[in-house]
Amino acid sequence: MIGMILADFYAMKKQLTMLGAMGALYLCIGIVSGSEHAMIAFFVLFSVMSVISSFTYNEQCRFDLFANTLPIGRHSIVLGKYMMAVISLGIADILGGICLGISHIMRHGNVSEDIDVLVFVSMIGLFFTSIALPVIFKLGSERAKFVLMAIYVLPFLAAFALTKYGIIDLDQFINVKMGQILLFLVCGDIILMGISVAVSLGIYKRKEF
Amino acid sequence: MEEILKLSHVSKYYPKFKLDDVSLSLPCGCIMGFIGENGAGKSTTIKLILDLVNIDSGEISIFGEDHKTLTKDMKEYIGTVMDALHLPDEMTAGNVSSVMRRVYKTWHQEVFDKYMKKFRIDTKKRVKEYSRGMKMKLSLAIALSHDTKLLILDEATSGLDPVAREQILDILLDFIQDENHGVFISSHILSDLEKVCDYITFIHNGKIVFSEEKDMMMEKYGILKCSAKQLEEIDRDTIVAKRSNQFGVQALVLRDRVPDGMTVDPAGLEDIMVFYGEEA
Amino acid sequence: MNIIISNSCGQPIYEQIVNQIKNMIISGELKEGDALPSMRLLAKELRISVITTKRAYEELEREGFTVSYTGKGSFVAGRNMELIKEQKYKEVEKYLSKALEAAKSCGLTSQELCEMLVMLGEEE
Repeated sequence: MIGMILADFYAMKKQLTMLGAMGALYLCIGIVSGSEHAMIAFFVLFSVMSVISSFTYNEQCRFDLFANTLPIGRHSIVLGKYMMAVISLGIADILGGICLGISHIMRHGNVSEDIDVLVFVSMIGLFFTSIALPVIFKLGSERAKFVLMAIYVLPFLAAFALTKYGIIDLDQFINVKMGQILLFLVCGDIILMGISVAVSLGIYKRKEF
Repeated sequence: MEEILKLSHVSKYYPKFKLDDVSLSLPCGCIMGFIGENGAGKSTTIKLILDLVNIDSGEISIFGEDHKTLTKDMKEYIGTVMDALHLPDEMTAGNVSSVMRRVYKTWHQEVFDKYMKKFRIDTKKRVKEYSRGMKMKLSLAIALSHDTKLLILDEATSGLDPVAREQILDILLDFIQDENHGVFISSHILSDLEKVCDYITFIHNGKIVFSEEKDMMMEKYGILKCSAKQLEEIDRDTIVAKRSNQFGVQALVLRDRVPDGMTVDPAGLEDIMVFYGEEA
Repeated sequence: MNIIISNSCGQPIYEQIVNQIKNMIISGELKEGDALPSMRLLAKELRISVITTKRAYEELEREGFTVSYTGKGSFVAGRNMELIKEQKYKEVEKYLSKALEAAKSCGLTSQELCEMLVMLGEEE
């Protein structure tokens, strides 16, 4: 599994260097402009994007053909991707944490609110990753793109519709029930991740190359 | 273990193609050449052996064990060289060996380094800068740098210059010095196979036409050149396939059934393959 | 030790190997007890199938020129002189039969053939 993660990192050397540079830039912008929360969203977005890109890089050179001749089970290949997603998200969180930390030193914001935002955005990222990975394993990154775009739009549409028709007052919702929402998200994500891994393993086991 | 690789009545169905009842057997210490025109089913067969596609019926045994029960650890002993290097462009040979070190329990870094030197591959150069020959050699180096016993090559030498091909054949002959090793090589470059193979298997439209000792097979077949009339006088069973031209007829025949007095030229693998292709 | 094979001379490769090794034994280049190269090494160096070299070695052993020990390889067998003589006698008989056939086809009797043979012998 470590070998596969390493291979992905080597494959995306160039892109990761660019992302790293952008990350550093956004970090500075975030600290200077005070929009740390937005920056956290970018870091998490980049981390999810890198995992999805790694599939594209693999498909370009048909890496699966090579990987499946190695003495690693198919499950190793699947778990490697999930591990990579977790590591990427971890790095995004660290950057986000640094951003918030420095900002906090400069501006003395609300620590608990900052942490809430970090957890919230990370869980959203994890949620999208859990949905995306099985879809990509099944359809390949090209076809998955369209399906994923449709899937991603749904929660936003739902939130928009719910607030528009007054079913939920978003501001009140967030301020009052944030703690419960976060708990729900974290538990939900863990369960969803588990289901996602099981589904991906099932898909990849029977896949033909 | 007598046979390092054995396929028994293996079938695989696709919407427009069928691999039908394929059986072949590679004894230890031998090289088997796998020939057939494009689309005949060579790559499909190799993918079935490597478990890259699922078998519909039949059995495949590797190292004497059914490949369904084969653990992933058995892949330590199988080396694969495909027709292309399926590695990301940005990786270098150095990157490759750091990954392989963590993947193979039986990885021998010093062997890999020796091959890098022998093939003159710069370990810092990225895969996308490699020539076709270098890509193949890197593939082969990877396949030989762990305890490979069964080496499988799928069109690995196509696109290589003759010097590179000779180098690879030399390596294969060295590899087979160990009686516990085996080589299964599919190729269009029949002159290479004619030289070094012990067995030849010919697949045509998804079916095995023959799978036998190369020497026996080359002695069995011959090319008869004569007039159409003379050909008609020969027993039907002697003729495998024929090609007519304006001035006569060429036929692939079974040597020992040809009547005395008629000259039969030796048939090479290419002749055999082309004649069978004509027949289709 | 030199073994040179030709792909184009029409004679099966294993036969060429058998003949060349036989000749080396007859000429004394290979002596009793000398080890032959391993089948695999020979196949590799000559770039031929190991089945071909195996066949050649089996033929040599069958004709009594060599003897093989599992795990050790093939060696030139002893008491070759009688075998060689026998082989050579057979060869002479073969040529003489051919000469006899040719003689018959042009009307020579076997008596006349003998005289021809004696004359040829005296010339040498």
